[in-house]
Amino acid sequence: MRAPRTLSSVAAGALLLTACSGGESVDTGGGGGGGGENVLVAAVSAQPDQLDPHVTSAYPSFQVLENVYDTLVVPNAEDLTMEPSLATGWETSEDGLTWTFTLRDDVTFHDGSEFDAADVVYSYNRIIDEQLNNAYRFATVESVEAVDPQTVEIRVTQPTPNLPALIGGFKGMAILPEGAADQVDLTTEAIGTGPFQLESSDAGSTVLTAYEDYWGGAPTVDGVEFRYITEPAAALTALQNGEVDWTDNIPPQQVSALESEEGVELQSIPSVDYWYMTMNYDRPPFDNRDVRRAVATAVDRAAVTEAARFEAAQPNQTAIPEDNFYASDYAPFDTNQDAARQLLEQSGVPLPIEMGLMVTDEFPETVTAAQVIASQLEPIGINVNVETLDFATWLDREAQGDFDAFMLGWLGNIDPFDYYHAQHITDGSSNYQGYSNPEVDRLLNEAATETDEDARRDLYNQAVQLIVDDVSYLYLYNPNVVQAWTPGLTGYQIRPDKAINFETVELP
Amino acid sequence: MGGYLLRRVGQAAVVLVGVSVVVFGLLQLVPGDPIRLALGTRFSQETYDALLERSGLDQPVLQQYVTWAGNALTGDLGVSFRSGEPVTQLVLERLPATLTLAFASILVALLIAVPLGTLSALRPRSVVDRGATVLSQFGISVPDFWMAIVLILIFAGTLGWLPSGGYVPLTEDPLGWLQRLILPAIVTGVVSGSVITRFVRSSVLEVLGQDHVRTAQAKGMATRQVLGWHVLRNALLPLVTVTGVQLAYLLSGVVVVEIVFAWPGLGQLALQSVQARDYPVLQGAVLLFALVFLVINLVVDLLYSVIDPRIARR
Amino acid sequence: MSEPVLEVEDLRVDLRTPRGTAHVVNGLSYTVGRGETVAVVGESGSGKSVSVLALLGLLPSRTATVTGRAALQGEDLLTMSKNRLREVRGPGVGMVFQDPMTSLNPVLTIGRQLAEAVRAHGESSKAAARERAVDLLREVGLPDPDRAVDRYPHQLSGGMRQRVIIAIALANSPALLIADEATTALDVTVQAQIIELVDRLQEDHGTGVVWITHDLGVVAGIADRVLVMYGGRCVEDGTVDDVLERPAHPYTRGLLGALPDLAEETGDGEVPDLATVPGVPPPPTDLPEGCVFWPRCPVRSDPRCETEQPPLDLVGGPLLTKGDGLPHRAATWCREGDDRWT
Repeated sequence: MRAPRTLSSVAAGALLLTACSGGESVDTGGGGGGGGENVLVAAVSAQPDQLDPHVTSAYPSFQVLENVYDTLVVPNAEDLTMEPSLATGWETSEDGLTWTFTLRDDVTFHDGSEFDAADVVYSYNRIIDEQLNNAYRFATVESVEAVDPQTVEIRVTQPTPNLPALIGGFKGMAILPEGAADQVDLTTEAIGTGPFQLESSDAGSTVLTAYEDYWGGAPTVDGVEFRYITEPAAALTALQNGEVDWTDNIPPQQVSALESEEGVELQSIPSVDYWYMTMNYDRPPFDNRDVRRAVATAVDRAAVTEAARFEAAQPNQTAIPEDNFYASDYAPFDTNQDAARQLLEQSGVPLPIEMGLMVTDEFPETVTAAQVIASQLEPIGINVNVETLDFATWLDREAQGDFDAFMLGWLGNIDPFDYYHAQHITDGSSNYQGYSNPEVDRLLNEAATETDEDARRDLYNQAVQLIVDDVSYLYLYNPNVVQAWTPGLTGYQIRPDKAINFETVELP
Repeated sequence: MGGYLLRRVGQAAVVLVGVSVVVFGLLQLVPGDPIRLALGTRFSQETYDALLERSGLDQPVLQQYVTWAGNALTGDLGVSFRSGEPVTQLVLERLPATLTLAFASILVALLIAVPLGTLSALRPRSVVDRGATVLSQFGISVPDFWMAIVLILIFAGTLGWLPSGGYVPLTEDPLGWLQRLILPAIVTGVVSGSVITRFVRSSVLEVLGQDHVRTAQAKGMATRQVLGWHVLRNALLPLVTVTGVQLAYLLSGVVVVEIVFAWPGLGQLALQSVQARDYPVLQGAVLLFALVFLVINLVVDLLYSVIDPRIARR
Repeated sequence: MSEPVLEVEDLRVDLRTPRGTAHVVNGLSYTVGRGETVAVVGESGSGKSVSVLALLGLLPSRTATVTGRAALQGEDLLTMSKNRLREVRGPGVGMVFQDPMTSLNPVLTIGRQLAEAVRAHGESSKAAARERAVDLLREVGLPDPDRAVDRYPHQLSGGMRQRVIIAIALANSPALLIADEATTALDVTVQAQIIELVDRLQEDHGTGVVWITHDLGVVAGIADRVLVMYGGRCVEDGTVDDVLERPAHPYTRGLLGALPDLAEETGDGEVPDLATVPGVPPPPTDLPEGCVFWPRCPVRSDPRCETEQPPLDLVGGPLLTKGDGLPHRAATWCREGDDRWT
């Protein structure tokens, strides 16, 4: 018995044994040709953490859930105005405190049961009563009631013009069958009304099959398989190989190369996200307005954007992307190092100023952006120390106020309320920088309840001017959403809110 | 033999308890709040408090540990904080993929290391030896993710011979299983193999200088026989330990390779649980890795008592 | 006289070392007759072991250069093909090395290692080889050979292991047996047993024996002739009586100097070792021009000592030799009669 032979044969034997005990890891995809039959194979960057729409906050989860569940209303694929989905229409009372939603009557859940108002009441109350993730969206909601099987009444404590966006912005407010949480384990199973049913979800992939009785008409494909491919090079190779039909895992620097490639169809459109930098009002000298304005003057947004996102983004001095109804074109800062130095002098703060800029490698583009910003601030006398942390640590320090400055983004914004309110109102739940301007508070609060669109826009624009002038946030850019698929694939629309909907997709 | 095994099991239990305490303690010191991570960036304070209470993380630390330990003793390692799935299920789900890759890698590693190391030792400072030295240095220094990506781009991309990643169980699709296993096994096998090559070389060199090899030659035995039964049979004994260590390391999941090849193994799980501060999964995973090391140590020791007659069987 | 079993002529071995070329063996010549025991004595570093390793081709070929002639039953070992050499090892020459603790493969049974020796030269049946192994073990006096054959080396004492090694060396009934310090690492009592064993086996099989040693018990006990090596060459050789009783070379005299009576044991039963001579042997990379012993020699009675190498010449005339007419030779300019330092 020779040691090497023994070891090798033991290794080989063990190999066969363990491989045969397949476990539950499933990757139903064979080689080329996608998932076989008529199944769309989509390569996403990560595995969903769980599938309960009211509990999860992970984007990978919502990539799947978008196709499994519905909300009462959904954003339009192009301009993001709220449209009917499970609700056919809605009305507000005169005083704006009662919303009445009329529901569809031809909807069935995946288990065959019929959808009605009781399900809506159950779903919303579940979120509110158990204080689940998206409970904050029901902040002004006083009650949710089923008037009749086809009508739901929601009462709010103050006029809430963005209620539709709150309840339909994404699938976090999905409608579950009444009592679902007690009947099934929602973290791994789903009974929704969406175009696809959840068949399985494990370490290898998540598989959906078409729901023939979908109220919007059965999907063209037989199913969707989401494969988790974290490494962009591997995802792109899989797409070019034909192993997958669709992916969103595309690094910005590859965009121009892929655009001209034949085997791949790529689209890049503005998204609703925005990335920003902010400074801590509790940490002098960053509470000094001139210092903040000096920074805003020295930073070259175009250069930062180019470095972080190459062509796949738009620099912006406000949060809302330019083609949005509520967009503002306010852009007071011209990049000017001398003007910046003057502002610093004016501030009376001794130089050099040391600034710790906190970023997380969870979003690598912020690390790049931070380095560019550091190089732009150094000449005016601000020494930036880029602190790259893992996300968990980053969040901790943000929550504790332990930072000079940080960089991050807000994603998935639909309504201007999403873009501005909680971040800039005094003691706002997302106001980590500690900004407080009574005039801004007044404007934001008024806008929150203003039902007239134009008036509302005007209020937000005024607020935005103050926010930008005070540099509560230093807005940097709106990134594009970039996705690619196999040529000849039709029936798919790329969306600014990054929701992935395969309802009408057709494989070539 | 029974007494010996019993003693080892007892020692293992002590080690596992120690490991769990240390890990638990360390996790308390690490910054990062799993509640905040689970809630995303927009949430209200009430939501935060509700989740905190539901999770049991507001309990005193000692209480949390005792609860966890008590459950662990009955085989219940708790549920994932993120997904609510039982930890044991999460681990078992990914075990076949990790086991497969680990054993395949060791196979590749040995197939590289034993011939290369032996040849190097038989012809020291020759072209073969110097070449092998350079190659093993390369194998050790090259970052595995780079090697992985390059292999994908060449073999899955340009040549299109192999899939770019994923895992299929053997029972479902033997050909697909093998195709997907090749590239990741090569990456991890080359790295492990480079380490083992150096080791084999020095071990064989040492044995070559020993008296009993000279005796075998003086007997008039054929060179191949001397090489097989006298040189390698002795030189490769210590290989069992080195291979065991490499195997234990591989069984703990090779995170980078798993990520690049979308290989659903324990490494991915461990990384995800660290990033999400998913304590129950982390505890369970670390405990499992410790157990793996203990088991492999035991197997190695038992193996020695079988293949080395100088070690008395107990 | 029948053809000598081994005839070594002008054997030279150079080893390439980092410090230069080491001339380890410099013109060694001797013969071994059938059934004859030749003892080779000398300090460590004198080239004794290297010279016999060279005979069997056991020196690393990359660094060792071997010249000369070494005819084993007429066939020159030094110019044989590799295959022929392999065939000769075992049936032609058996070797017993110094350290029994390390000379056996620890992971194979001794029976297996014996069988290997047997099967390397013809016998292919496992069963037959095993039987021969048992016989061999019995012959070397290992108790309970049937069970011993399945034992591992670490389960035997040093003396028993050496017996096994002797058995391996004799497994193919070689014409020549070379024992390199075969008893040095053993207990005194065991030494005597081993020596006796070899003696008996030699008588039984008529094997020629080269015994490298610094143990006078061997020299005095079973050797027929003695060869004294220093600095890689033979400085004196002859019958045991001649050399031990009438040493002609100052070095030999020095080795024997402190001993009262070579043929007797001392009071405590120990057989005396050779005495030590003050000084150290010359480094083989840097040998003296003249007599190789000159740097240490207390006699130096001849002016040629420093500059000219003395040849190996007969000591005295035929009248002064006892023994069977075997010549007594010494390589020295300083001859009998010079008692400056005895």
